[in-house]
Amino acid sequence: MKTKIKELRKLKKMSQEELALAVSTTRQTITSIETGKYIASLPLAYKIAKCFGLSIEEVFDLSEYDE
Amino acid sequence: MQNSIEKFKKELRSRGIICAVLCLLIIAAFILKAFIIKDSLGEIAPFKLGFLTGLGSVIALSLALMSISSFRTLKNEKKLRLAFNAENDERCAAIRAKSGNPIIIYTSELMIIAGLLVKSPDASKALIIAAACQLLVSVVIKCVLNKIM
Repeated sequence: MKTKIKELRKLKKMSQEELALAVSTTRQTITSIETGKYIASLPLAYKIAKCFGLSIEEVFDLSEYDE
Repeated sequence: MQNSIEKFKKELRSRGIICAVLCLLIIAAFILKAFIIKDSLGEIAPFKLGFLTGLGSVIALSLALMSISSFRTLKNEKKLRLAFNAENDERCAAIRAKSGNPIIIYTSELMIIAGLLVKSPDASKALIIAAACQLLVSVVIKCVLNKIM
């Protein structure tokens, strides 16, 4: 799944570790989500989106799930 | 969140104490074996005794390291937060579940205990080797999943 986490993080001058600490996860999980290797659960996606002050749809590209 | 961290702190402290106690018990068993009951160990097959000594040493060392790391983590607030996150991380939990933890560890422990209790040396070796292979496969799966997930 494509995400805008990397861009948003850079915009906020935030490191992966800082984001991981903010959303109570590990740096490795943030890396995996950014590279599309791992799809975050709904609560984690919500926490990440909330951390950037955006909605889940604005952070995660959900177009592939559109019918 | 703060409550969860406080709970985790207590859990980590008790984990550290349990590891230290178990480590001391293993050391006590080694001392007992070496100086007090050394003559009554003649009935145990030499390979079983060797295996037990090796396994005991590795477990004692691991427990000591785990205990030290638990107490060190408790002293450092950032390390504590990272450990808490790692413990509750959903990706790590998924990897652990897919690699068969903790069932694989329990079955391997049971197989090793059965291997030590069984009288036939061949059956004993087979059980211990099977348990080791099972653990190895689990570790390999965990490493592969860590790479691809």
